[in-house]
Amino acid sequence: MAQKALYELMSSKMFGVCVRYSNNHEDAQDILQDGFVKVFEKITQYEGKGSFEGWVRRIFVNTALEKFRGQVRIIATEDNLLKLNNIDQHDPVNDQLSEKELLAFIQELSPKYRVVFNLYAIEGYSHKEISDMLDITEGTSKSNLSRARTILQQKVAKYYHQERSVI
Amino acid sequence: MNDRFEHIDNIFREGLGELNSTPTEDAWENIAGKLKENKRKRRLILLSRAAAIFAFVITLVTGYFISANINIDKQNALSDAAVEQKATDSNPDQPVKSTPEKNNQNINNNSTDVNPGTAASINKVDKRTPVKEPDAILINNNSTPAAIKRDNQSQPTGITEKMAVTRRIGNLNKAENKEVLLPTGQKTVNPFVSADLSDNNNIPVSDRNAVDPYLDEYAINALNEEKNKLRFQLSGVATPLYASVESRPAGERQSLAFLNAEPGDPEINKDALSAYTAGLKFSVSKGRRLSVQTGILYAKVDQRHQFEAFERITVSDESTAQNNTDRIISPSPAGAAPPRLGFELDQTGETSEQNDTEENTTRLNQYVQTITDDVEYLEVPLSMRYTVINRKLEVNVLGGMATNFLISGRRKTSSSAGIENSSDITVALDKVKYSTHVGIGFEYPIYEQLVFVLEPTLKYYMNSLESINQTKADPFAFGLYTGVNFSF
Repeated sequence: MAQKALYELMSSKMFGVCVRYSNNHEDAQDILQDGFVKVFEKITQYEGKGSFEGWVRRIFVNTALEKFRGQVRIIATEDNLLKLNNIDQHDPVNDQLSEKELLAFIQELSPKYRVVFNLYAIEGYSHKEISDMLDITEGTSKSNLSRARTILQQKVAKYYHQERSVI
Repeated sequence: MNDRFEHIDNIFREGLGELNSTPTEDAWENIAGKLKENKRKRRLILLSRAAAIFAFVITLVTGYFISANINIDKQNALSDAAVEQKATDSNPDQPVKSTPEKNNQNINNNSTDVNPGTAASINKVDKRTPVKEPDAILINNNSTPAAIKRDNQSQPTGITEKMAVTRRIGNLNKAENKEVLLPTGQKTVNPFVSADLSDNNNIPVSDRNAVDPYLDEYAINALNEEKNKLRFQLSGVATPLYASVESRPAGERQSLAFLNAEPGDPEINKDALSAYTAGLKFSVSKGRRLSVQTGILYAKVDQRHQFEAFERITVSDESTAQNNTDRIISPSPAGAAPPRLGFELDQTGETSEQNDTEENTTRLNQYVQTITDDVEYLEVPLSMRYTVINRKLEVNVLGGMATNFLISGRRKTSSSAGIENSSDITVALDKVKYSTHVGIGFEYPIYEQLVFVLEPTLKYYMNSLESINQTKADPFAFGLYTGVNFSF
């Protein structure tokens, strides 16, 4: 069955996208299922422009956004007073951080920060594109990203300190 | 600052950009099951549309036959009156009571008295069958004038004349009080003014004693004129809508509500959905039966939902507690909110903020949350309308499609805790929606060109209200369009 073959080919890669946008396995599983259903139902709309994997990935990102879009909006209104001072400026050593640890850091973020960070830092979207996708202002997008980075930096730094103290 | 953060971006981009993870083993079974279920749903939708079209066609055909019978009865009543009047006119001392049974008997008993061609024509005449070809009358009149005996003893002549009168009345029936064009180019008034055959003076002399060959010309011209005349109607209508919303992926109809039903009513699952439509319709018809209708209507759909929720207030620094408050609105576990139009609520708030900073403190406030979604559309319908019963109370069947253009969508949230928020949810809704509708229209004249209209209409929305959310709404809607037609 062609659908199952495609699923087997792409499921692990797309599940990787799903877990990045989710904070638990169940949500990621839901996004994976909804995403593949969309892919199979809309596959005739793929016009051959760009890579097929890119098209599929985009569907999964959009599916993930649908799940968390409301959360990004509801909370974003209170998000303009970030305190960026007193942030520990450690240089984390990324070699010591596994995929699992990085993923755990991202999943610990609240949806508003996790989604924007994923879109900007990993997917490479601009703030303008993010603001359009999530229906938030560019300022909110920047603010959420900044906050996400700060939190992640703290987590990485904390991890680095713990590792160093163990050594 | 950008440089400072670039490094952290790179760590995560390189570490997670090509992340692979294995889903659970039953994931494919779930996907396959969902695909199958969606396919079944699509098939059901297709079937329901086919059933709606079938029902519409059946209604149309049934309506046609009902109206045809009504017209035949009307023609027969008029022709009986005309024949009686003619007989009285020919021999005032011996009024003839003409009945269909008598006429048929007479045709058989006196067939030798008439020209065979005429007899054949007569035999073809069935009181229940309207004569369609005007030439049939002219042949009777022109080719066999001698056969038509004009004394009241000759029943076949009476029948022939009745046939002619029936024919003409049938044609002229729709052109009462109208001027008709004579072959000579002159205009005259329809001789069957208001079909008042009881007054002999209303029947022209030419028609009292003989079948006037011109009368069929009158009829043809009048009928053609009637058929070719364009009629226009402008209607102002308004309707409440009764709508049903289906939520996915559960696939169950979540809420049914009438107008401004009170939130919290267990009968309506704590949801209230009200909708109304108002606007102008314009219809054009050629002939009396079929018309095309379009217009522009404003449609508004409001949905309210009320549930128990709790507010988590996360304070990152006591000294700036007033300013650094993140509010997370979550439905309480006991009163889980059903899916809604627009966006999902934050249902993961329980864990989302706990790890932001270690200094955070959390407070929980329980309260009642009310959400109201207001969605506005501009609707452009295109309908075909067929008149089934064309009497004082006119009955139509109608069906067609409508395109709904989204104007705006807003969500207002308010709570007993005093938190109020308003957001634009336009982006979450389909910009264009399509719907089909079938209905029955009743029209009753009020004054001259003004007609009262009542149109119970069933609508089916072909695409969902929302384009992006897991919660989908595919409402059926029942509307009672009420308004006034102005004909010109």
